Amino acid sequence: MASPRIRSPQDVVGGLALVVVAAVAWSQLGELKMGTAMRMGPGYFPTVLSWLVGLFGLFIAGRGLVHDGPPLDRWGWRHIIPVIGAIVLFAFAIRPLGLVLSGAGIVLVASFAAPDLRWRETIIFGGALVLFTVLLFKVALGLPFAVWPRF
Amino acid sequence: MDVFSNLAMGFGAAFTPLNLGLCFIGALVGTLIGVLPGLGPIATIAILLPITFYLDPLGALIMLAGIYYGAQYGGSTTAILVNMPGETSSVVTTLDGHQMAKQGRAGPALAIAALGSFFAGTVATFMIALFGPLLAALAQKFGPAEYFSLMLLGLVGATVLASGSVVKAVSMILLGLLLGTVGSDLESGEPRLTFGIPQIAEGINFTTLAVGLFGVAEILRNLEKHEERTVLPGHIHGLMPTWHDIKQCFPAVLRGTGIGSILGILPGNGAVLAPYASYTLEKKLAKDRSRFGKGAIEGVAGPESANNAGAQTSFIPLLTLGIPPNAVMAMMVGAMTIQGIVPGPTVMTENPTLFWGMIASMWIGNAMLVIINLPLVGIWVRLLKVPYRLLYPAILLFCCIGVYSINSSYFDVVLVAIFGVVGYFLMKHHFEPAPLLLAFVLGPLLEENLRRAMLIARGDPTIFVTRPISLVLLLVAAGLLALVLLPSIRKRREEVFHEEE
Repeated sequence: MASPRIRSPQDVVGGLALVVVAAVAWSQLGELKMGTAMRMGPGYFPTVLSWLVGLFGLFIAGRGLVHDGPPLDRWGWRHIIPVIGAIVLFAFAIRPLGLVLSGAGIVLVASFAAPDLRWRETIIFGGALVLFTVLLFKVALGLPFAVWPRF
Repeated sequence: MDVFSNLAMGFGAAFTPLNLGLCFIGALVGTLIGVLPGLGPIATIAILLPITFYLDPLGALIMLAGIYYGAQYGGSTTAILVNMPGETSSVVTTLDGHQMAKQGRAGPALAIAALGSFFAGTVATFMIALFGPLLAALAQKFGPAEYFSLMLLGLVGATVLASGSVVKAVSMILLGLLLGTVGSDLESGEPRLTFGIPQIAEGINFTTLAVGLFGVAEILRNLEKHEERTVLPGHIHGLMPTWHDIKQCFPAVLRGTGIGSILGILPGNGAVLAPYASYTLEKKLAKDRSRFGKGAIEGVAGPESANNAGAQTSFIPLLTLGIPPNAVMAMMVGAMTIQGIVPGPTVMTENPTLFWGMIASMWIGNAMLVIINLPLVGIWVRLLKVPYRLLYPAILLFCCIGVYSINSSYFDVVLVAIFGVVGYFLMKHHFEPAPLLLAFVLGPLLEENLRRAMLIARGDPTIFVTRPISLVLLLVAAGLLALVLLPSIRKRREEVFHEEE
C-alpha cells in the first residue's frame, strides 16, 4: 500500500531529474523535422529518446513512491565548491594567465577541499607539479600553451 | 591458418625501440593508477588521449592498451597490502589477499597474482589472435541492420551485466544515447540540442564527458569517504610461492582464465564481473570452504587471472566488430578515431600491422608487467604513502590540461566541471555512469545504422527480423533481458552484486 510518505527519496529525485532533462531536450527539438520511418529526419531519433528518458524517469520516480529505498545523501559542498571552483578558474585563466599561474591556481584552490590540509607541503608539492607539467606539456610535447601571462 | 606468420609480423612491428618504450610507459602508468585507489583507467586514458595526437597509431594504441591491462596488475598490489581495491576489478582480491598478507605471506600473494595474470594474459592474447580473424570475417557480411542489432545487443548486455538496478542502467543508456545526439545531424547538418552554443555545434567531446563523469566525480566521492590507508608495515620477504602453493593454484588460474576470457568478450564490464564469478566458483569447488576469507591462495589466483583475461579479450569486439564492449573500450574508440582509424573488421585487412602489432604488444606488455610488479613492489608500496590531499589536486590539474589541449577550448574545461557535478549527482542516486558513456559513444553509430537500414528496407521495420544474423542477435538480446527480469535470476544477481559492496 502506498503511504503518503515518500519511500525512496533518492529514486524520486533521481527519476524527476531525468524527467526534467528529457523535457528540456524535447523542448529544444521543436524545429527539427521528424521525417518518416523510411527517411528519418534529424528530429526522429532524439525525439524518441527524449520520450523514453522521460518515461523511465517517471517510472523510477513512481517506483520510489511505492517501494522503500535509501534516503537522500547529503552533498559534500565543502569538497564540491573548491574542486569545481578550481576547474572553472582554470578554464577562464589558462588563456590570459598561462600554464604556470592557472596551474598553481587549480592546485591551491582545489586543496581547500582536503580535510587534512598542510599548506607548506601543498605549496612545495604544487610548485614541483607545475614545473613538471611545464616540462611535460610544453618542453617535451610542445603543446600550444602560453606558459606565462600575456600582456 | 596463418596466425603464426601474422603474429610474427606483429612482433616485428611491436619490437621497435619506440613501441617497446611506449608499451613500457603504458604498463608503468597502468600499474601506477592501478595501485592508486581513486584513479581508474577510464579517466587516465581520457587524460592521456591528447598526448596520443603526437604518436603514430600503433604506438598510441599500444600505450593506451598497456594502461588498461597494467591497471589490472597494479590493482592487486593495493588490494593485498592495504585491504583496499586499487581498481574495481580487484575488490575480491582483498578478501583472501589481505588475509595472506596479515599472515606474513604477502610475497606469495603478490607473486601468484602477477603470475596468474601473466598466464591469463598470454592465453587471452592467443584467443584474440585465433578468434579475431574469424569474427572479423563474419562482420564483413554485416549490413546496417546487423550492426544496429549488434549494438542493441551490446547495450542490453551492458545493462544486464551492470551492477545495481536494471531500470536505472537502461535509463543511463537512454540518457547516453540522447547526449550522443547533441551536435549537427549527420545527414542534414542541422544543429540538434546545441542550445545555440557554438562550442558544442560539433557534438560534446567524449573525453570531456569521461573526465567529468569519472575523473572529477570520483575525486568528489573519495574526498567524502576520506579513509585512512594503513600499509602493512615491514618488508615483504620471500616473494616466491612454494611448490605446494603453485599446485594448489594452477587449476584456479586455469578456471579464472576461462571465465575471464568469456566474460571479457561479452558486453558489460568483463574485467569487473569476472573476478566475482571466479571467486564464487573457487569457493564452490573447494574441499574446505572455510579457508576462504582467511587467506586461501586460490581466492587470489582465480580472480586475478580472471580480471586480466577479461581485460585482454574485451579488445576482441572492439578490434573485429568495431563495437566497444565496455567504457574503457569506448575510450579506445576515441583514440582510434583521433588517429583516423575506423574501428571494425576492416582494421585487420587494411591495417594488419596495427592489428597484429597491438596483439603482440599485449603479450610483451604482460611480460613487462610481471617485472614491473614483482621486483619493484617496494616502489609501489612507497607510492601508496603519498596522501590523497596531494594526489587529487595533481589529478585535477592533469585532467584540465588534458581536456584543454584537445581543442584549446576553455568551454570544454567548463563542461568537465558540469559533468563532474552530474557524475556526482548520478553517484548519489545510484545511477551507474559506465553504461551512459558506452551509449554515448555508440549513439551516433546506432542512429546512422538505424536510418540506413530503414532506408534500405523502405521503412519496413521487419528488416531486423528477416535477416538471419540480425534476428539471432536480437533474440539473444531479448533472451538476456528476459533472463534478468526472471525473479529467481534477479535475486541471484542481486546477491552477487551485494557481496561486492
